[in-house]
Amino acid sequence: MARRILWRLVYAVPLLFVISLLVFFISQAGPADPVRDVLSQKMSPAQIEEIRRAYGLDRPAWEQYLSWLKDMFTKGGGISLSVRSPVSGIVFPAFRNTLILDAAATLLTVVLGVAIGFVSGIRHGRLVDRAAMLFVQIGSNLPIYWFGLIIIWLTAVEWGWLPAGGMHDLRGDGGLGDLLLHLIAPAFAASLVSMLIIARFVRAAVIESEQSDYIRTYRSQGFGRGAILGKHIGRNILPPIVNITGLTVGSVITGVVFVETIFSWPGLGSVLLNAIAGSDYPVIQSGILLVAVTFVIVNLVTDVVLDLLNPRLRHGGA
Amino acid sequence: MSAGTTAVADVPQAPPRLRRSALARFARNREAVLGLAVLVAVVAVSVLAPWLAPHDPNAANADDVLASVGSPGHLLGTDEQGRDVLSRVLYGGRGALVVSVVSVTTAVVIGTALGLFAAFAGRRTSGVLMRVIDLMFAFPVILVALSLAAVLQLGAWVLIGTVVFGAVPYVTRVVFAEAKIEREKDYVEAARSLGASETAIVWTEVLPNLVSSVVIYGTSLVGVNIVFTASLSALGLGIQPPSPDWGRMISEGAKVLVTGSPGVATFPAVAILLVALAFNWIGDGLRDVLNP
Repeated sequence: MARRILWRLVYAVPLLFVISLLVFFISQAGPADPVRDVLSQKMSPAQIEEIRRAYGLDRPAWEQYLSWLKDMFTKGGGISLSVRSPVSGIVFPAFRNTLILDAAATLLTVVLGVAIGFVSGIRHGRLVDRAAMLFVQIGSNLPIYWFGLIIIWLTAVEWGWLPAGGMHDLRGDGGLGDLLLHLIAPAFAASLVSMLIIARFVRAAVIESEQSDYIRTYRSQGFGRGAILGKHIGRNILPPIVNITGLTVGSVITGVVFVETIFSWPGLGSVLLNAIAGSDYPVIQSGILLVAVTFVIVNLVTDVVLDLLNPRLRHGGA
Repeated sequence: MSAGTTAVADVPQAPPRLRRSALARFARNREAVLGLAVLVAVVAVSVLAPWLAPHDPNAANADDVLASVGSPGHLLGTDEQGRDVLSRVLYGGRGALVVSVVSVTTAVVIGTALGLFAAFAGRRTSGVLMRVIDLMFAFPVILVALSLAAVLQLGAWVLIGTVVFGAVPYVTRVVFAEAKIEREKDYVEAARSLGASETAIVWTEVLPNLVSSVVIYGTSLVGVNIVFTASLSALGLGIQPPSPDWGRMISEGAKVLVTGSPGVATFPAVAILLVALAFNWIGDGLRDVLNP
């Protein structure tokens, strides 16, 4: 078991290396010359050459890669080209906000996805099931951007339940309750697609195990429906739920980036879109690297949890 | 393997009846027929937009800003620049449709090749390859879009690259799983014992049996990605103004959605929903016909 987990860690290393290499090449392959783009055209070629040397842009690519990697860890990702301050000061606070939204969206994805899937699974073919499946079909084909707008319109403008955007109330105390209130709508919008993926999946799993022989045996022996659902069906579909949750983390992150702009959430997605508009490569690279590394870690944790849930491994297997 | 093609190859007399039954199966599926009708209509409208649109989709008119739905001359109203929403909706699907179909087709070709290769390669090679595919499968595709947006000129190529990256792992997995099953079947063994090379087996024996699954899957993927590219365009990473585009129209209409002109953003959203549903329904219908 421990060896297996160790191997999973080892496998992550080449992956991180490839990701860092790809992210590094964003600045190499970009259409804009970072120096010429930022500085005014009034400079002489000699001055531009000077700056190029100062930023280390005249050295061979692999040397640039190594020093770039070193900067990532020691200097907080270098200096932003457009704001002229350390990238870490721009990226990390935004990343924290994005993580908060990610966590909330993942929570909603799992809770609502499992709930919808479970209910329509045990009511297979009934009205509730058909209504849920209609919701799934329409919801998973809705453009997220428009869905977010409609949510704002309904919850903030029409009903006045929730704030229209942002992370905190400017006049509020900035406490947890305030944050949660601001979280609900964007987290729901960001989780929609992944939630429906999980719902569909759980529904299929519930239907399959309801029709399996061992469940029929339990039922014929007179076990209560609740006991069967909780103890047997629930436990059997837990590993696939963890698995699919791990797989949907990527789509949750995608959803969050889509949603941040709509809800004016001060997160990494908004920062990255601004950076792209301004060809601010240090910010783009650090932001993308940060999210990619987070993804790798989440992926790793999912795999380990799956190992732990697997009885064949838990009881002294390989 | 579809009943129609087998019949064509082997039994010359049978095809009309058998093919009719395949068609009939599709026709019996109400959703599939509806989806096909919607798709045909949308493609026709997109192609004929220059003749159908009552106005130039980009002609701004400062005197006629935010006309309401049903106002004279503007059936669906106008946006905040006074452009005719109906004309923009008619034009707006062109980019999205072309981009989604082209990139999903590309992804299907790449994914099929990779899946077949993995299924017939040695255990170690296929293990490594499928592990990479698994990672791509769960990877946040938005990072690819953002990276491409930083490297390329914003526009259709960013969308195409992103969709290909996102769709390849899906196709590869499906093809891999099916090819692994086919590989163990008797007809492959028979071909091999008759001296067919591995390449010949892959191309002439296994591939034709996978085509239907790939077509079904690809159809659904087009629907998914029309929605996805619309969101990317809404963020400003995709199709750029002045081309009218459904996704872009949603984000442009965002400003006026709450101020009494919800139509500007909603009509393109409904168009996207309809096209995506149409592709899904057709995919389901094809599944009934090809994999009964």
